[in-house]
Amino acid sequence: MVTVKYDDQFAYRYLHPIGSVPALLFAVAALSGSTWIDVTGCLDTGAGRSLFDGRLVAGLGIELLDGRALPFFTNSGALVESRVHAVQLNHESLGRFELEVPFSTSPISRNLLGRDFMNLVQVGFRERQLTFLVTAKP
Amino acid sequence: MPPAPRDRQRELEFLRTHSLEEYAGEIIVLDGDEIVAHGHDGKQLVEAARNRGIDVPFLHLVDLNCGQEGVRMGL
Repeated sequence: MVTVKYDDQFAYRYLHPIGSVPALLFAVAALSGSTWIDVTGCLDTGAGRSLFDGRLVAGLGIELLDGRALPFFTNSGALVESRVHAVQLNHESLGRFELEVPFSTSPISRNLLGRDFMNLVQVGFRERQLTFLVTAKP
Repeated sequence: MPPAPRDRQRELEFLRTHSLEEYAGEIIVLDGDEIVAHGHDGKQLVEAARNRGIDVPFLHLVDLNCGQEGVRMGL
């Protein structure tokens, strides 16, 4: 028997057209920025890194192409280019994180929270119950 | 310091109940159940929200293939 303790439990959120997904709502800003925006990010255990839509960064006062290039390859082999920027994320329950987030150079359908984010938090899924569990102490 | 978290229940309920096909591939700025701006330029969208007195806007990506049937993967 293995027991893992979590601080918070959240219901999956229904987002058209993907359906119910494990998504977190949080605020994001540049590391030294004062402009914050609220966005959702979908937890994606299949993503080695998080990936946010690059169109968002201009709203944070960040120049997208100033970041380090990092290519993503999808399951079909398609290339999605990104530029990496350090940002801060703030979640109501989990608190504030700093994370180097790749931002896509072309539009994507949703922000993804990959295994780099899951290295900062402990995440558990209860798919049948459409809930997921999170604690800020991995 | 991060701003105090906003209650986004109205925005999330709006996203649950609206398909948003006409905004496929765009970013929308939601304030409650109202779309206050939409487009592709994050800077312009944040400025539009600021002009309406919204300090921390909620920016939502509308699926690129919104309105098309099919299973969604991460990317």
